[in-house]
Amino acid sequence: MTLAPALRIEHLSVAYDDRPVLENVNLELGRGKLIGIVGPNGAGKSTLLKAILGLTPKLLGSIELLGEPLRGADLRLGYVPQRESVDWDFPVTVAEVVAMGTYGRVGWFRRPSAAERTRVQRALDQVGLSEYASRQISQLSGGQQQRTFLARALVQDAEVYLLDEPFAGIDATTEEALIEVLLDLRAQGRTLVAVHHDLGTVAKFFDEVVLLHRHVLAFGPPDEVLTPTLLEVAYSSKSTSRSAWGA
Amino acid sequence: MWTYNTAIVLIGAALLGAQCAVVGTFAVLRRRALLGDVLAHAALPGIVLAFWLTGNRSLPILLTGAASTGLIGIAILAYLKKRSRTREDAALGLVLSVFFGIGIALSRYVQNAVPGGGKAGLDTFIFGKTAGIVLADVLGVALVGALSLVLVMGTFKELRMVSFDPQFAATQGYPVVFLDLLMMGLVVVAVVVGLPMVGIVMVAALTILPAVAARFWTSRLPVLLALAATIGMVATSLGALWSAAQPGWPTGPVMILLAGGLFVLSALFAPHRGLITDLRRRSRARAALAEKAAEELLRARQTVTLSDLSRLGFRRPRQTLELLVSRGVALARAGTWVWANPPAPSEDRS
Repeated sequence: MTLAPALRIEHLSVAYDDRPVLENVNLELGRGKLIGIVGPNGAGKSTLLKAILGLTPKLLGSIELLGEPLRGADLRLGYVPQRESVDWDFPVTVAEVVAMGTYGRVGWFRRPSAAERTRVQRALDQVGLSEYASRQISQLSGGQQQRTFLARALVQDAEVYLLDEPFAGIDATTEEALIEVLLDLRAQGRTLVAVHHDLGTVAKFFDEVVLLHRHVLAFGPPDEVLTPTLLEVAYSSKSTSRSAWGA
Repeated sequence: MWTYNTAIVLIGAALLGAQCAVVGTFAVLRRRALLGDVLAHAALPGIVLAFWLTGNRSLPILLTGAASTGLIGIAILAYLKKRSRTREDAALGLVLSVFFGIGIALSRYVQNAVPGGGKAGLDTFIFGKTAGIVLADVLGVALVGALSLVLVMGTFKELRMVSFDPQFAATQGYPVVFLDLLMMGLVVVAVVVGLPMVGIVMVAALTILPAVAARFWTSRLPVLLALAATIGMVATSLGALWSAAQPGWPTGPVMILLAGGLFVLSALFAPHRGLITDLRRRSRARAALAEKAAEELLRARQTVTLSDLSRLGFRRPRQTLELLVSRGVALARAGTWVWANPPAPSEDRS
C-alpha cells in the first residue's frame, strides 16, 4: 500500500468577485519533497496556498491533506506568509510572535507551557535568532523578519509547510538558514511547498516545480517544467495583461 | 467643590476612561480606530427613537436604542465595504454623517412635536454632560468596565494574535470573525456607556487618543495597555473635575482636550519614538554623512570653498568644514579650506 500524497487537490477553482483566479487546478504533491510554485504575477500562486489553508473560499474543488479531506484549520498544515502581510511596527517581541505557532495546540485561554517555550527557544536557535528573542519586531531586518515567520511555523511542527515567497528580498545569511531548515524538514519526511519568484534559482532549491497560470501548465522536475516552450506559454500568453515580474 | 456628587462623577469618569482606552488599544492595533466614531454617531437616532417610542428617558433604555442603531450603522458599513465598490474611508464618512444627520433631524422633531420631548435632554448626548450622573450610573459603568477588563485579560493572547496576524490566527484554528466581533462588541459597550458623559461627537476619541499617545512611550503591549488606561483615566477624571468646577464648560470636549494635550506631549517628548528624538537622530545622521562627504571631497580636490559645498547641497557648509578643521583634517585659509594632509589613522595612534 502506498502512502497517500501530502496534498491532493482536485478541480480547485477560486474567484475574487467575478474574476477567476484559479481554474480547475489538479495536483498531487508527494510527501518528503521540496516543491516550488512558479508563474507570472497574478497567476494565482499565493491564492493557491490560501485556498489550501482555507483563508480564501473555494468556488469548487476538494483538497485532501495526507489522505483526509481538509475541513477548516488543520495544525498539520503550516504557513509562512509573505513578510509584507503584517505590520512590523506592532508592539510584540520576536519570541512572542514565534510562540503564536504553538497557539493552535495550546488552545483558548491557556498560556504556552514550559515545554512549548522550550520549543520556541529551539526554533529561534534553528533560525539563528536566539539573541533577538526579546527584541521588538520593529527592530528586525527583512531577513530577520522572514526567519521569525519561519521559526513560528517550525514550532507548529506541521507535516506540510506552505511558504509564500520565502526567498524574496532576503540576505545571504537568511537564505542559508532558510535552505538549511527546509532541507532538514525534508529529511524528516515533511513536505514543503513554496511560492517562488526567481526562475533562475528554481532548479537549485526545488525537487519539483508547479508552473501555474490560473491552470497548472506543468508539474514535474525543474528541467522538465522550465522549458522555453512552457515558459513562453506561462509568461507571455495573451491572458496576462500584467506580465510584470516580481512578487 | 468636593461634594459627594463630584466624587461619584470622578470615579465614573475615571473608570470610563480606562475602559475606553483598553478596548481602544486593540481597535487601533487592528486598524479599526474609526469604528467607535461611526458607532457613536450612528447611536443618536437610536437614542431619540428609544425616547419617542417609550416616553421614558432612563439611561438603560436610551442606551439600548443607541447600541441598536449604532450596530445597524456598523452593519451597513460592513456591507458597503464588502459588496459595493465604495472604499472603506468613504463608506465610514458616509454612514457616520447620514446617521448623525438623521439623529439631529429626529431629535429636533421630537423636541418640538412630542410632549415632554423638549425636556428629555436629548441634546446633552451630543457633547456629553456629567452633572446628571448618579451613583447607579457609576455602578453601571463600573460593572461594564470590570466585565470588559476581564474579557480582555482572558483573551489577551487571542486578541493580540488576531490583531497582529488574523490569517495566521485562522490557520491556528481560531475563529477570526468571532474574535473581531468580540473586539467590536467591547468597543460598542465602551462607547455606548460613555455617550451620556462624553457625548456622541467626542466619545470615540477616548478609544483612540490614549492608545496612540501611549504607543510613543512603549512597545510592550501589556505596558501599552496600562499606560493607555492611565492616560484615559487622567484625561477623563480631570475633565470631570474641570466641568464640576466650571459648570459652563462642556464635559466631553474638555476631556478630549486633555487627552489631546497628553498626545501632543507624548508625540513631542517621548524618548525613542518622539518627534524631537526623531529629528535629533535624523540631523545627527545627516551631519555625520555631510562630514564624511566633505572630507572625501577635500581629499580629492585638496582645496574647497564654501560655495563649492553649497553648490553640492551641503546645508551647513561652514559648520561641516569647521568640524574637519577641529579634527585636524582641514586647514582654514582666507575663505578656502585646504586638505591638511593628516597622517593616515593607524592602530598605534591611540
